[in-house]
Amino acid sequence: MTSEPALTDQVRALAELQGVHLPLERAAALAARYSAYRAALDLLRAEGFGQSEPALDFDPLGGSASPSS
Amino acid sequence: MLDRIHARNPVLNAFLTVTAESALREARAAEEAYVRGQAGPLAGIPVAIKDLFDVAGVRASAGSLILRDHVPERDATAVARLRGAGAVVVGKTHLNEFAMGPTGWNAHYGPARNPWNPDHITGGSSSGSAAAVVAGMALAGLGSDTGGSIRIPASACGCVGLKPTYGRVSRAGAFPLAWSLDHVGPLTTTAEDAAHLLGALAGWDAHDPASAREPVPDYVRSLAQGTRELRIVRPRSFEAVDPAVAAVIERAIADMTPLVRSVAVSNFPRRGLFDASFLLTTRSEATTHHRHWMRERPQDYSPEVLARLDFGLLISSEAYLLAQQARGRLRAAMRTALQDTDVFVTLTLPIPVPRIGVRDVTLNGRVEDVGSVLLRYTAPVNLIGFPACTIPAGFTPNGLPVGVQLMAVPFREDVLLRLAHAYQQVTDWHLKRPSL
Repeated sequence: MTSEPALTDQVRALAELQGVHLPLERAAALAARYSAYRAALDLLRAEGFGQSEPALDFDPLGGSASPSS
Repeated sequence: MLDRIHARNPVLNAFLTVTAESALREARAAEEAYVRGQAGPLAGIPVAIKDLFDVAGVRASAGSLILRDHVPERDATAVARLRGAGAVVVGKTHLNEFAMGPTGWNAHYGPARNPWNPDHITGGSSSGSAAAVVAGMALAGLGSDTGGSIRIPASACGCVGLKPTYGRVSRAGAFPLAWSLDHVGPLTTTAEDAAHLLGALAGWDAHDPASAREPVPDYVRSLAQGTRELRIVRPRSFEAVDPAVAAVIERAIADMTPLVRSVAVSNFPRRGLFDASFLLTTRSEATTHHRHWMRERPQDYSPEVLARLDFGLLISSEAYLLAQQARGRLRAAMRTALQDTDVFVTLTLPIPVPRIGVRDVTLNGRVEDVGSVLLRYTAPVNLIGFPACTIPAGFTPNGLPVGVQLMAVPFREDVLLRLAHAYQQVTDWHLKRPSL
């Protein structure tokens, strides 16, 4: 995802795959914010999540270890 | 109270619906229960309910056009519990569209206005509940908090706002924003009032899958335990904070110091991880919930909210899952920061309450989006699910309130309320009222 028109097309196609039709203007606005998404994802990858972290715990409090312990 | 609502609401836009008739009926019933000796702990207390909670027979718009004609048949669990304790629902309050946003701006219903200066924002998204409490249009408000939506307006308007532990108060019957971040809690004038409301609201509910089975302590009674044995911890420094706000928070910590056993210094985990994890989690969950309307009724969203939801379309399953792993690390880091202490004391909003319509602010010479700045110190607490509250601690030179934020480990709302209550015994910020 590099040049702006190409990025807009890709964002539009991604939305279509999810059943959401993005008019050109909305797709361009979303493409303009792709870098914010990418920065967040890259930061998490760089921190090693997905590789070195322990198993994922979906409990926002951290499961049985959490309550008033 | 109803007269005050009718007089002040045209200026403040705190209520989207006023339930005058049913409120009078409920008030009479509370009076009769009192005469019979059967009054609940909140008998006759007028409460303002954020318009994303279901109240039977009353429109629940969630601040949207899409739900403008939605009239639920049953009360949300939190509303039912307040009513069960004798509270009187006086109306449904303003919020950002679908609770998306921390400003109190709503493209469909107009902005809520700050009781201290109607040219300034209330903060959001529980904008109307905060404004109603501070303007004397209700004694308490019910709000929801996904990234700060109780604490931000409470701080901006000058009242107590309590976000309990994740799962402490049921979300059943509340329109969701992001399932793993949504919390429900009260807005009040005093910490003691918050203790009364939390006592009524807290407890397991079969209708909320995240509801916790932890026992509910007597929060009001616990206030009497005092704070002499409490250990508080504060950040080493305040990162990118307006000097006027920092001065208020420093003074609040100084005022708390003689009330507690010790004050330590610790560092908050790095902001970048919080920001990335919050962005990916909240947008992904919100977009998942709204996808059917994004397909079928995009024209009924405001452009700002639709743009937020569109962002979620970019987020891959990998990104969402990495964000959840980051939350685990952040939670562990905060537990470490709170080890051997009871309450983390920090700020709620790093800037003075902005004027309505201001989109950017300059902090430390850097221009930043107002929404991101407002969420900076509150959203991290939603990611880790810990309880936190804000209490009024002073004013900036523009005459708008500043709140100090307290945070504890899960299910220790009692220590937050004890410290907040003790602070309110030696200060009078919570007693100050805007001239309306």
